[in-house]
Amino acid sequence: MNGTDKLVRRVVTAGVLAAIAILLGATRLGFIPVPTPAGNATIMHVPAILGGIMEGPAVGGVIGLVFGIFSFFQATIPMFKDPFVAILPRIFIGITAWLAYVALRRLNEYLALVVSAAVGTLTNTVLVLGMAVWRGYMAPGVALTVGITHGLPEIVVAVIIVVAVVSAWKGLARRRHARL
Amino acid sequence: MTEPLIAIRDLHYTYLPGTPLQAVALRGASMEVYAGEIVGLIGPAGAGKSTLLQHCNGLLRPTEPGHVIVDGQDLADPTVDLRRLRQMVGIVFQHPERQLFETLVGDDIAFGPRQLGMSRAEIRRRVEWAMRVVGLDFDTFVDRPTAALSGGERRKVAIAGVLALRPRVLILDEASAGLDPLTREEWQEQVRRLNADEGMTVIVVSSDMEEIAALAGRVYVMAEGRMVDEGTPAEVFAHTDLLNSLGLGQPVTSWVLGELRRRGYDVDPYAIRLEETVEELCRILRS
Amino acid sequence: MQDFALLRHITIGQYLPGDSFVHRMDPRAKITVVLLLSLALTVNTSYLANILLLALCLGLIRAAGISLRYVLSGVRPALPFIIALSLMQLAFYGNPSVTSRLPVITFLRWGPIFITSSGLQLVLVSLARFVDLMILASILTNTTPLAHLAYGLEDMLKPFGRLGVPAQEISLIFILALRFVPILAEQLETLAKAQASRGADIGAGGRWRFWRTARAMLVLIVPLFLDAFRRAEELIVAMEARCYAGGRGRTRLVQLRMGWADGIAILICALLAVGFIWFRKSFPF
Repeated sequence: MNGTDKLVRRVVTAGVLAAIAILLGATRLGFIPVPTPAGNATIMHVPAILGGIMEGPAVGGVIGLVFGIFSFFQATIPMFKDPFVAILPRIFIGITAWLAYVALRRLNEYLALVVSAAVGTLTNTVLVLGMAVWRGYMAPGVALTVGITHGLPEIVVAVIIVVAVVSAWKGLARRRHARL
Repeated sequence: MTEPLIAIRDLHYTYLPGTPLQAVALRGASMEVYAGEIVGLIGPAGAGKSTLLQHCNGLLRPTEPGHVIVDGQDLADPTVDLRRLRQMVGIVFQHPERQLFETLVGDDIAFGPRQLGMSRAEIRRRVEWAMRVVGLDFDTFVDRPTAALSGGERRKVAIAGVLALRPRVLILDEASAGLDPLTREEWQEQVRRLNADEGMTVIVVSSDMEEIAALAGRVYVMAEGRMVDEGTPAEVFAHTDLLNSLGLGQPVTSWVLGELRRRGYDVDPYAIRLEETVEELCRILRS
Repeated sequence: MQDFALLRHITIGQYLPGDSFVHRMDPRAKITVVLLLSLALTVNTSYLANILLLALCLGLIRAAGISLRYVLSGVRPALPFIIALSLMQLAFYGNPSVTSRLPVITFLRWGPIFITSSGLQLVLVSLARFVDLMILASILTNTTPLAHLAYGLEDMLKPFGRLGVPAQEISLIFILALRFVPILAEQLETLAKAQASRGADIGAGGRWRFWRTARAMLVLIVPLFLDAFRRAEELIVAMEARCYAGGRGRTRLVQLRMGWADGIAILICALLAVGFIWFRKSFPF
């Protein structure tokens, strides 16, 4: 594979995954009801994690950027109408997910996927809320509560999806036999 | 006369009514399907074929005038047990291979029965049966990752996933699109066997007229949201003008017989099965 | 999930055709102006500055010929949330870092409830800021076709090319994403129907059986991603077959032109924004 091939692959993968991020945001599918006061856990950041895992930090970063811009335009909550909260933090989701993935890949592929999904999700939660506090939209205590009620379920969902998608795509079987 | 298994009467349907995206799909469509039949449904794109059939297992519910009655139950009734209905009427959509989601073949096929809460033994029996019907060897394929299959094998897995529910009615909505000719023949044989041996009622939507001619005992022609013709394949495919005006083709055999008749040969225009047509040709060659 | 069709018909990009001055502005100028004004907005917490900025934004939206009611109509679903958040800020957040020359008056202090004039100011300013940001965002999205926005963004990222930011690739990614959304939305609808036909209970489980709900989502999410990857593979082959070799030197169908009016608009807004940022501590109230 030469340089151009890689470039085309990255551009197309990023485009397609960004499309899913937009699609998840535009339908109810991107929001999973959870039993915390947060009400819904979002999975719109999952494409950015997958992009980072599959094609590296640049692809993961761009998908996060598209997700951020989309959430900026769709936002009906004041703090997400601020690009510093809505857009900037999202760029890092795919980058930290990629870092976690390459660091652990050699150890165990599954562990790498699980940790990378968790790290990517945490990046989103922590940076968005951190920015919200820094820009004065939220008190630190409120942010911490929101972080826990949103963050925990989001990590669980992101891990489930990332592991399911990557193992189905790459044909990694957790079990040798079907449950029959 | 026995009651039809599925009866659709004067059905109307509009997508997203009252919005700028409003689109009328059905304008009084009617159809009857009897137990044990293979019914063909043809019509140009946008005729409303998929909309009509998606009413049969409650994916779409009648909101406007019209009735859909499946096994004696009117689907306009809001208390209809959708789970039971969907077990009874299975739909295979176009490109079914795209709906696989489990890592292993066996797990994907077992999804439907598992949703119904069946016992492990029963689930296994159904998966074995479904795989045999679509022509996948159980021991070879059951533990394979779906990612390692060819496109054709993936499609078989997906169809087996619908069959594992053991529906009484199987709806094939362009399910054979894109198959190569050899696989297509194998596929038609499987559908015929399902119908003959298992007594499964089948509704086939296809833009391949040869397939309709080969499979269906009765054919409906649909255009602009309603039925415009109905009859045996031989009858329907003899209506050349109607088919041409809708932009639908006819099977080669039907065309050959029509053309011979037009040129003054005395052939039976209804002999559209390949063997029958060959017989007719031999007959006029001999005379 | 009763209405499967809703999965397909989604709206993104709300371009409203028009022929106002704002419509005709160069997208790069619009992006610059919006960025500068949002920055000015977020650094100013005084009443006066926010009143002036609100007036400016209202003027812009009037010039674009878009009704304020339309701009704010998307807010309605979030209204309860906004009100609840405002009340919470007001009640518990009496000691905020609002830069104001006004003396802080404590209205009420009772247990954890602490209401002050500066808390009130924060809430009012946040609300005004929100309206401003809605207006600015709609100036970008309602008066500019998405392709023009993407091209504008690409041009603006070009100077960063030397730093390794591939501007044309990023813009191509945006355009690809927008092209793929309707395709994948249709695929999603078919998937939902196919899985429901297999007995899947999408959306069932509810908030308390959250693990089950998440598992139930997988029957849609996993094939959706797999389908997207497969389409990507097909497109990669197609693009390589057509010898796509990166963005450098590619020509465009739409040529953007910066007119003198754009220059003036940028200049005025830039001056205003810089003024608001520079003098943010000097507003009397």
